Formats: sequence, C-alpha cells, structure tokens
Amino acid sequence: MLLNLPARVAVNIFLILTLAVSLTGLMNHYKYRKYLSDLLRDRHALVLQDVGHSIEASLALGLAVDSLPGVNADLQARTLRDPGVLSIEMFDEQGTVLYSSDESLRGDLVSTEWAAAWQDPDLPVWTRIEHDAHVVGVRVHDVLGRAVGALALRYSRDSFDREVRAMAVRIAGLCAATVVLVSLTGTVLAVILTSRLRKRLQRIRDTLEDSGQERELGHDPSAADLARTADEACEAVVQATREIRRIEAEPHAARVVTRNDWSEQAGRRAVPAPQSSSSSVPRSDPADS
Amino acid sequence: MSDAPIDPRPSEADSSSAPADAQQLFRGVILRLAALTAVLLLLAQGVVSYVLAISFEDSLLPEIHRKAEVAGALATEQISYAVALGIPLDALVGMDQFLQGVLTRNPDFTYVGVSTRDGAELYTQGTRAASTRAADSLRLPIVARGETVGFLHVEVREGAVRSELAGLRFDIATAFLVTLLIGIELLVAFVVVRISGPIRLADRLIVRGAKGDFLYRIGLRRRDEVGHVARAYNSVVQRVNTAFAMLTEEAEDARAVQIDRTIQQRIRDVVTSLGERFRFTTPGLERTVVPRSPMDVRIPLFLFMLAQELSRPFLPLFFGDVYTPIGNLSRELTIGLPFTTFMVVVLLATPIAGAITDTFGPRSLFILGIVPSVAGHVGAALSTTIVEALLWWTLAGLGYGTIFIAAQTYVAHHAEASRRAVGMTGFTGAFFAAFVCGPAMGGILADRLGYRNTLLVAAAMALFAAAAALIAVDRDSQTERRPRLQSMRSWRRVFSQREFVVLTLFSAVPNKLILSGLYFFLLPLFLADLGNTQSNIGRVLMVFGIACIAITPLAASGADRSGRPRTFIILGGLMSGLGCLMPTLIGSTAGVVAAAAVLGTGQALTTAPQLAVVQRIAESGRSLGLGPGAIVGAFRTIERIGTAAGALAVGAVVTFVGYGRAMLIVGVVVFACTVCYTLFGARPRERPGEHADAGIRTGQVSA
Repeated sequence: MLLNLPARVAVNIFLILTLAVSLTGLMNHYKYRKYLSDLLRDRHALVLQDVGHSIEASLALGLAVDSLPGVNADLQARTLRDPGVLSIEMFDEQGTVLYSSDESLRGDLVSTEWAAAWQDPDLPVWTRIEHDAHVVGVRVHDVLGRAVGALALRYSRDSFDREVRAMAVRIAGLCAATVVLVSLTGTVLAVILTSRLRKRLQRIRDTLEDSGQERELGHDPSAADLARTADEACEAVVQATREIRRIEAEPHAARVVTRNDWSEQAGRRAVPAPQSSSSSVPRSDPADS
Repeated sequence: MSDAPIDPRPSEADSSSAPADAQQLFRGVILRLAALTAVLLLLAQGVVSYVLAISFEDSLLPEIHRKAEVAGALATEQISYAVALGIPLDALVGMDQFLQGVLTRNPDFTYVGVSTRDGAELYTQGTRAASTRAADSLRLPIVARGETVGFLHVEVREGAVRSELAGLRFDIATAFLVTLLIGIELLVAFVVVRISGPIRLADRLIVRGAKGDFLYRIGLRRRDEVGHVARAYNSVVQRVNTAFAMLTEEAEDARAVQIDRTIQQRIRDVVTSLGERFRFTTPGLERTVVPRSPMDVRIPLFLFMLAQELSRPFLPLFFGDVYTPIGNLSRELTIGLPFTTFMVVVLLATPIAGAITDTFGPRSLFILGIVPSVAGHVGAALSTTIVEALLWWTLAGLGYGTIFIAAQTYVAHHAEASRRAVGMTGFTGAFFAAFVCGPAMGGILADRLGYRNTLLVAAAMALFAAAAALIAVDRDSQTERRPRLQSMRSWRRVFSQREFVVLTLFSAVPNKLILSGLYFFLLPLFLADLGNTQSNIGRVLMVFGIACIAITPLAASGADRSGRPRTFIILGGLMSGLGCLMPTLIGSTAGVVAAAAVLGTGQALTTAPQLAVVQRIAESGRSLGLGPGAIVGAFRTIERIGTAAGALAVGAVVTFVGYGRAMLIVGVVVFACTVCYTLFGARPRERPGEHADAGIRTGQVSA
C-alpha cells in the first residue's frame, strides 16, 4: 500500500517541491546575507568617512599626513564606542600603518590585499573578508584630490556569522515545514486525481482474478475478453484431455505396458486436473482406467 | 503449439486496438498532475517568500536602526559643533544641502529634519510619512555646551527590507519556472515510464491474450496497482499454460504407450488442433516483456542537457576572463574559438558515435559520453589560459556529440512504429526544457558561485545524468544500423538537388549561424557589456528558449495543415533578420530582450518546416538512389558546419564593428539569405496534407 500510485506521485511532488523550495530558500539566504553585510559595511563606512573628513581637514591646513595630531586618540575612541570594532588603522601609499587604534601596529605594513583594494579607483568603499574579521576601507585625499592613504576598519565577524547561521537554520526549518505540509496536501490531491486511473486498474485486476473462478466476470471489457478466452482455452484443454482419454479407452487401442507403467500412472494421478469454469475431468476416476 | 518469435514491440494494429479512452485517461492524468504541481509550487514558494520577508524584517530592522543612529549621530555632531561656535540653530546656513547629502548617502532614509527643543520644524529634507511606526523613526538630541538645543529626526523607509527582498522577485519567478519545468519533466517521465507505459503494454498483451496468445508475461515486480494488474495477467497466462502443459504431458504419455500409429496420430491431432486456435508455451518459460519506452532516456538526457546549458549565459565571458592572446587573432575571435572547436568535434563524433552505438548499445555509449563531458567541464573550470579552456571545452564537445547520438538512437529504437513522432517529441521535449531551465539556473548560480564553480556544478549534474541512465535506460537495447552517406558520389547526388542546396545554404546555415553566433556567443557578451548581471543574462537567454518552445509546435502543425512549409521558413528568416535589428531599433537591454524573443520565434518558425521540406526532398531523392536517411543526414551535417562556423564568423565581425553593429550585419545577411531562398527555393505548389506526419517529426533538434 505504501508503494501505490498516489504514493509514487507524492514522492515525485516531494522531490520537485524540495528542489524548488531549496532554491528559493538559498536565494533568500543569499540576499539576507548580502543585505546584512551591506548594512554593516555602510555603518562602518560612515564612521570611517567621518574620520576621513577630519583628517582631510587637517591636511587642508597644510599638516603632513604622517604627523597629524590626535588621530590615534580619535581612532581609539571610535573603536571603544562599538564593541564589534576590532581596530581602525590609517596607512599611507606604501601600505605602512601611520595611525592605529592599536598602538603596536604603527609602522607595520598592511597586507597586499588591502594595498591592492584601496588603490582600485572604482571602489569608493572597499571591503575584504578575513578569517576572523570583515574589513571596510575608504581612501583619504589631500587638498588636491590625490589619494594619500586609506582608513581601514576591522570588525568582528562573530555576530555577523551568528546572525547568518541563525537565519540559515530558520530558513531551513521553514523550508522543511513547507515542503512537508505542501507535500501532504499534494498526496491527498494525488489520491483524488488518480482515482479514475486506479479504479480502472482495479477493474482490470478484478476481472482477471475472476477468470477461472466460476463467477461473473468484472466490468473491464478487454480484460473480460482475455478472461473469457483463458476460460475457453482451459475448457478446450479439458475437452482435449477427455478426447485423449476417450481414445485411450477405445477397445481396439492397444497398449504397451512398461515396467514403470503403474508408477507413472500413479504419479499422473497425483497431478491435479486443469481447472475450468464449466467442468473438470475426474482423472482419477477408476472408470477411466 | 506455436512458439514462433513475436516482436514484443507493438505493431500498428496493436496500438490501434488499445482503448482510446485509456489514452485520454493518461493524458488527463498527466495534465491534472502537472496542474497540481504548478499549484503546489506556487503555494510553497509563496508561503516561503512571505514568511521570510517578515522574518528578515524582524532580524534586519535593528541593524538598519543602528546604521541610522550612526548616520544621525554624525550629522548631529556637525550641527552641535556649529551651534557650539555660537551660531543659533535656526540660523545655520546650507542646512538643506547638508541634510540632502545625508539622505543621498543613506538610501534607507526617507526623511531627515531638524526641530527645536519645542518640536518646531526648522529644516527638513525628504518626505515625512503620514503615520510612522515608532520602529521606523529616530529622534537624536542636538547638544551644545551640555544643553539640548534641538532634535534631529530620521525616518527609515517603511518596509525597507521588504522592498529590498522584492528585488528577489525575478529570481524567485525564475526558480518557479525552472522548477516547474523540471517538475513537469519528472512527472511526464514518471507517468509514461511507471504508469502509462506498463499499462499500455498490459493492454496490448491483454488484447493479444483475448485473441488466444498466451506466450508473454509482463516483467514487472512492483507492488502498486500496475504491478497487481501485471501479476493478475501473468497468473491467467500461467494457469492456461499449466493446463496445456498437463495436457501435453498426458498426451505424450498416452502416445508413448500406444502401438497403433493411427491412435498416436489421433492423439497428436487433438493437441495440434488446440495449437491452431491458441498459442501456448511451457509454464514459466513465457517470454517476459519489460515495459520499455523512449521516455526512459528522457530524464538522463534532460539532466545532461541541463548540465550543458548551465554555462550558456557566461561561457563567452568566462573565455574572456581566461583570454590570453593567440597569434594575431583578435580577442573576440579567440573567445569564439572554443565554440567552433566544440561544434567541430560534435560534427566528427556523430558518425563515430553512430558506429559505436551499433556495437555497444546506447546505454553504454551514453555513460561513456559522460566521461569526456565531465572531464571537459572540470578541466575548463580549472583552466587559466584560453588554450587550456579551448582544449577542455573541445573534449566536452566529444561527450555532447556521443550522448546526443546515444539518446537519439535509443529513442528511435524504442519508439513504437506508429508513435515514432511522439517518441521524438519526447526526446526534443528534454532538449527544450533544458534550453529554458539551463541558462536561467546557470545565470543565478554564476552570480552566487562564480563561473568556475558553476562549471563544476554542471560536471556534477552530468554525473547525475550518468547515474540516471544506469537506472533508467535499458541495458540490452540493440540498435539498427544508421543510414549515412557513404561516398563522395552520394554527396554529389545530394547536391544535385537544387531545392536541397538552396534550403541548406540560404536557410539552414544562416539559422545555425544565428543560434551559435548570436545566441551562444554574442548575446551573453552584449548583455554583459550593457551592465547586466549573470542572472539577467540567463533570464534573457531563457526568453529565447521559451519562444522556441511556444512557437515550435504551432509552426510544425501550421506548416503541416497549410502544406506550405516554405512560407513558414521565409517568415522565420524575416523574423530572425528583424530580431538582429532590434538592439539598434530599441537600444539598451530592452532591445536585446526583444531580439532574443524575436530570434527565438524566428528559429522556431524555421526549424520545424525545414525538416518537412528536407523529408519531402528525401522522398524525391529515392529516384536518385538516395535513402531518406542519407539526405536528412547530409542536411544535419551541413547544419552543424553552420553551427561550428557561427561563433567564429560573428567573432570576426565583432572584432571590427562591435556588438551592436555585428548584430545589424548578421541581420542584413539573414535578410539577404531569406530573399535568395524566396527567389530560388521555389518549387511546384505543395498540396495540403502532402506532409501529414512531417510536422511532428520536425520536432527533432540537431546538435
């Protein structure tokens, strides 16, 4: 019963729904991840742009980029304001860190990835993903509009990853529940939609099973034809058996009695006679022999 | 007793004896299940999208507010600084521009305003919502010298998240269409292979049995309703054959003990007379007939074609990414090279694969073809230069050609004589479904995963196709030898037919030029050049496929009914030419979308009637000693040459004139070819109904 036609249709529907809903779920998750990532990037970029405006104002006053007062303190204050922020750095064209919320980083060289990213003129705000942090950066320009370096902010990806993972679980749960519920609905509908077909198959089966059972044949015309022909064939076999026995029993029929004659006859009698809807041949009738 | 071999495949007579209402019943079941699938898909995707929109909003709104707070705090700091310098809050200069800047930098904000401590509005930008939820607005104090002098008001766009998610509607609609098509593919294959095929076989054997033929049993071991019918039928056959076996045993015994030959003959006659009316066999030795259908190969073929089409929207762009100069070839020409070598290998693989199919059978060949295809996809994904990509992609062409022939041979062998056209339609159905689904899915995947990973996904999907072939395709299918052109003499005879030459030169070759030159090569590049994402490129290519699917059956039946396939070919040529002009006439992406739709329509209008004309030419070719297979084979070969040359030819044109003008030039060429076909391809007026069956057969596609 578990493997009947509606169940098979239901399995198909389940597979199709799983594929469709998984695709939709994946696309939604991708969108969520991207939107959340963009929001975080934009928020941190706003902070960097604000710091950048201050630095650019100082540069406009004629101060050298590597000797600006109060930048380190400003970067530290901004880092402390948001617990998700790991560090904020400013590096020059050569990639050397000039100012940082973490004093120990001053003078270090930034990664080549950062150096390559900030020099791309098409990206006013550039981003990088590191194993423990997301990085967002903006360029700093001097009064002539020349990029003299960049500000980079590293923020923890823990909360981001946590949010994304939690949403993935929610999406998976929702998708699974939807697939199960809609599949169940589909199963019920599949039972209804295939009922005519199943009735026809049941009619064929009943008709064929009625064959040889000495009862009225079922209603499927072609199956009934087969059943009738089968019964006719069996009847013809019975008639033929009778005819052979009649020939055997004719008085002038000469028989060779072999050594095994008796045992063969006994064995033959053990075989049941072919069934027929109309008659049967009592092979073991003593009169025949 | 007769046990003469009988072809278990149905004859025409058998088919006609199958109840017509059964056909209607199966069709009804397929339609109802397809409708059910569509409704359930809509329901499921609707529910998931709606609930997720609400869920995302709940999750993202706090983050939007944090961003608004930061932006607001930065603006407030600047205002506070000015006020701290002694400028009154209501006398600040340039506040409108300042606030406008805040709005521009934060597209999530709909309103920014400054008010006094009492709430009187001083400066505003944007539109304030009539009724704003508390969750959508912020009020930040402006503090100067330790005292709050006013407030900055920020309103976040209501339903910002939802409207952002609305951007997914195209992707979700695409996913719906793709999964619906895949679902219908699966359902059709399921109903045909698992339900209607076995029932049709049972019907045929029941009809045979009703005529007294008890030689066959149905080889089904399922426990569903169809399996029960098969078992009931088998038990009837076995009962009859058992009865007859007992009779023959008894007759043999009886004969063996008789001395009189006349008596022996009389006993033999009794048994023989039964054999004249009925056909019996030894019980348990009935010939087992397993329901087989051309549809068996449909799912493996669909999966393989889907894998092949996944890369359609980005393949030229990928080749562009790994481009390295080759000699003096231009960039466009070099990028077009892999398409050409791919088709050349398909062209070469076709006769070889045909010969191998005769030896090994389609199933083995199908699985064998997967190997170069998977290797080609994986190799291309790992390529770093255009030469590497070209070599790997050419290897993928070997797989494509092999699988194409294996599947076509399987369908041709298993299709019933009277339903060969329907069998071929099933074959083309898999192609068209993949044609629509593949680019759309590939575009979405490429956007998310990148080109290389999408190629790897395609390779994995090809492996699934192999697994499906292992399960579904009949291992023991024998094939018939394929007709093919044997000699140059045959080719000369084919080319002596003017109508054939005109058709191939002025219609078939330009048609394939459009398919490979524009659809495979130019459209993705053109769309990317116009700034479209991969998802969009995939969707535009899907438009081409949908137009093909929608128009092909109409064109086929229209050409058959009217008996004027040439008219359709001319119309299709004109449409294709017009499609090439669309980007110039309309401009931008909309023009390319219109071009894809019109080009797809042109292709569909032309492809089916072309084959009707070819078949007519093939019939007349008998007088020259050419079989229909030879002419159709020659037509296919020349078509493939057109396909192979397409990307290269269009690439050469693009090198000199750019994408838009290249389309224009191709359009002019297609128009010119259509005019030539109109002038030189004329023949005596066709009579309606002359090609009664051509329409359905025209559903065949070529590689």
